[in-house]
Amino acid sequence: MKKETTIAIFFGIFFGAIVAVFLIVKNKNSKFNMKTLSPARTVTPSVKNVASGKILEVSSPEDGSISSTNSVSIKGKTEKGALLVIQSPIKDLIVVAEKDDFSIQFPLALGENNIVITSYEKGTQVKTQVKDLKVYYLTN
Amino acid sequence: MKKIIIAVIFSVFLMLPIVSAQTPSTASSELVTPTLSIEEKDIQNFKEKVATKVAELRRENNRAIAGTVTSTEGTITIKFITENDVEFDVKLDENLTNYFQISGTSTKEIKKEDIKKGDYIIVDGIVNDKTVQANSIYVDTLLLVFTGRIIEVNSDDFSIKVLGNDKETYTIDVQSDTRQMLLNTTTLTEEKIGFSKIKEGDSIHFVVEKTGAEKEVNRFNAIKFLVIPQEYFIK
Repeated sequence: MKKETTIAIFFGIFFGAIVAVFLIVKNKNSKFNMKTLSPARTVTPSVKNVASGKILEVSSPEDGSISSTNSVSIKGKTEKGALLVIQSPIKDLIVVAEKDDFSIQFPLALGENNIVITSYEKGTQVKTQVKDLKVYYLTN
Repeated sequence: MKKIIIAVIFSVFLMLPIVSAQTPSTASSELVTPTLSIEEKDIQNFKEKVATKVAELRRENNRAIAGTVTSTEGTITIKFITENDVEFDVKLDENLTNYFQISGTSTKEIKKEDIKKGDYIIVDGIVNDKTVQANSIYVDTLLLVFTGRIIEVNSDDFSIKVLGNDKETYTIDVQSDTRQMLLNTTTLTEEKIGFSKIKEGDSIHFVVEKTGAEKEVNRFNAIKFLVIPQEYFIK
């Protein structure tokens, strides 16, 4: 092989490699830009701490929400050991909160469901906390 | 020299397709995916996310509001007032708005003309300030749920006076078909009781029907109630 040909091949590979590196870096940058176009993630609000016996929090469902199914999961926080009474026109549910949070499946009637959630602090009738919820179960 | 330049240019063009065909995340994969299709995939994902977000926003704007009909005059609106005393105009669409009567566990399709002043309705639609563009209107029964402490038991007229947790005083009339329940403090289950078991000082959770024809303010016929006896709290 002639000396000129060897040099030519060497330079060819060298410049080719430079162009290759340049294109790879450019590709990565354009991918990064694409990712920033994606919609921002939803930030879930943090849950407040429950002060002993002072708070009944209901995190879901939202008041005034529409449900397409005939039951709903009622989630929230209350004092551990509190007596929870959940009442609607079609159901009464009585449970003692084993933990400071609860998740209870509750049936819905067709139309408007007025649901009242009452938490009685353990050992006292006075410190009651009440939350009203309206949930609409609409099928059409 | 001329040969060197030709060789350099030739080598550069030879390397280009190798570089552009690279897929960084699937280096070990035998299938080589062109860059263009990855971008298309990202765009597709982005479009799907935007579509989902739009659907979510539509769902968020679609709300249900309930209240009592105050006027059905005119051909395109119904006025109704919610329990917070807010009056809404309901915009109706001849082709889109559906009307239903809720009875028990089923709905029956009705006509706009069947909705009368004083009816309790649920309007499902897009709310904009005090106007609702109705998709569906349901005629329903207004059932209210309250809780409070029994302050008076009247066995002459079978009524119970309750101081509600909202500081309002309610009188509930116990009917022959009223479901009367008491919490068993040992088993924490409900058991049926008679009127004589109801005591002042007990907590009570009750459901009433508001018809609009009540003779006294805050006096209703009871559909059901659940009594939590004081003994539960002092045991």
